[in-house]
Amino acid sequence: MPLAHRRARLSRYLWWQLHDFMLHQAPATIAIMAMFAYLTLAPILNGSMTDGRRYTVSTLPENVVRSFFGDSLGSFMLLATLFATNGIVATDRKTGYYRFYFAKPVSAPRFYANAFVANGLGVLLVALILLAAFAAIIRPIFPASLFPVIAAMYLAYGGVGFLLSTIWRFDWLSLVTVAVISSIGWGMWGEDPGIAGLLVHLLPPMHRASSLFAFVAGTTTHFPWGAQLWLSAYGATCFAIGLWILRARSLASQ
Amino acid sequence: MVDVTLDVRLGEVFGLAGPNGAGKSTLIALLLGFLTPTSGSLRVAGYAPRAFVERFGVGYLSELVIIPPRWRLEEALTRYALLAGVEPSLVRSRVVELVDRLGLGEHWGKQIRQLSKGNLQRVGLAQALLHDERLLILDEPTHGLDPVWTQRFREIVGELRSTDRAIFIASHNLDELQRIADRVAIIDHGRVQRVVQTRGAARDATSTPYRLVLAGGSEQARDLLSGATEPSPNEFEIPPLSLDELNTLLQKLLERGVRIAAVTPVYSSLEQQFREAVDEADARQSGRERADL
Repeated sequence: MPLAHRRARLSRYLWWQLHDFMLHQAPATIAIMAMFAYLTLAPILNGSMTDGRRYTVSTLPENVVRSFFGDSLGSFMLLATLFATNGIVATDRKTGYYRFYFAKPVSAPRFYANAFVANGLGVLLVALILLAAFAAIIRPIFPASLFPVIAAMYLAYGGVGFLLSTIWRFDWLSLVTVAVISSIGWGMWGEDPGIAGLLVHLLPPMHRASSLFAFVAGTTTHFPWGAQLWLSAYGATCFAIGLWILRARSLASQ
Repeated sequence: MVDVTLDVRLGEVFGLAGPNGAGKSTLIALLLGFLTPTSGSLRVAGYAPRAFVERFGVGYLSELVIIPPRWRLEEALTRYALLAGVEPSLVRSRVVELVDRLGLGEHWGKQIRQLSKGNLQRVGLAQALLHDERLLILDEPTHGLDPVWTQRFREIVGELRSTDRAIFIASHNLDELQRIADRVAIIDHGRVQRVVQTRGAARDATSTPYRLVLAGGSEQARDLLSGATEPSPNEFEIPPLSLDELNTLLQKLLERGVRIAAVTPVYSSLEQQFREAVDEADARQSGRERADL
């Protein structure tokens, strides 16, 4: 009897990966964002940052609310992506969970690409929960560009996180390090016409993200297509390299 | 691993034995494509190992059963079933069937971390059997199983034996391999030292000493058993004999009125072959090291 070719049911398995994200990473993301919101808004509400002028959430000026929304979105994207891609590959390698997964008819690149998509859906769901909380507690803001920008930023940041996770186990630390180095690098040499200015283009263009968040928050009206494309292409390239590494590298360590 | 060629046939239960560090787990990791050879190539049914696994899947039980500890038992098997390519509408019935077959029903809703070593081993075996795989690779499958489940495992292997399936079992337990495998490869120092036919082969009586337990007549037996040692009263260990010599000796003992309670080989044929293979491999390795110096 000839061998029958078959494939793992990855579209069904995606729901389990999403379930894992919602059970483990989503609560942590929501809790930290709640803390961020409290620590950011409390000094404004109690007047310590506004020359003694106190506000309630309903009397907050529109520009303050929009600015807070943009800042929150920026923090959310970095944090949610960090949680979503932290250990996405490295944990299975480190613990040995990969052994049972990859004795099944599934390739590592397909399995982890599936996990990347599932976690991306999880990030969108968490964004929806936080948006609902924002609308209930502060005031409703539902910009049409929000979810496309979240998806693009997930690809941008997450692609880098995914690549780092395929390389070694200290991926969260590396992602934070890369984010810090790229901020410093772009700040110092972004306009440099020499070698430093060229080399800095290898770093993720995270400094361009703020213009996207500002557009979503409504503090600018011009959509920064250049930033959007550059960030997405950078993340997509990192993601593709990560998939190639998964295909080329042994799953087990020697 | 160096220069390994193994021909495992469909319908066969093939054993892999070797001392600790001999290369058993490395060989299995190579077969599954978890490791790539530093030189040369590996083929499983004509495919590179990863290509084979990704096309057809393998029923694999690892030496250490590592499953995320927070997963519940039925959840773990459901997930693995989807990855194994089981038709979604059949997943639940397949999981229930295996849970019953492996006696895990009472642990259905438990988290993996709540399971004992033996139960975890059975979960590992269950996930390997979720799909009707043509190739099974079981690494130390009875590790942690109690005697009842060790026996049940042997029965399951018997049930799985089929003309279109190859079963590959790595084990330290030579007695178990002797019972269930058709052939056993003995590996040491990263090389296949020999392949032993364990099923259907005549026992070589000259290769093992025998233990003789008497129910009476030890005094009469002692004259005839001059070369034997006496580890305990009424028990003799006879040096290696041929089958004819052994039977002649037993006949003489019976004629003298000695009552024989048991005659057993000190080592099974596989154990004996294992000892010889490992000793030879050690000697060759020492020779190589001396030559290198």
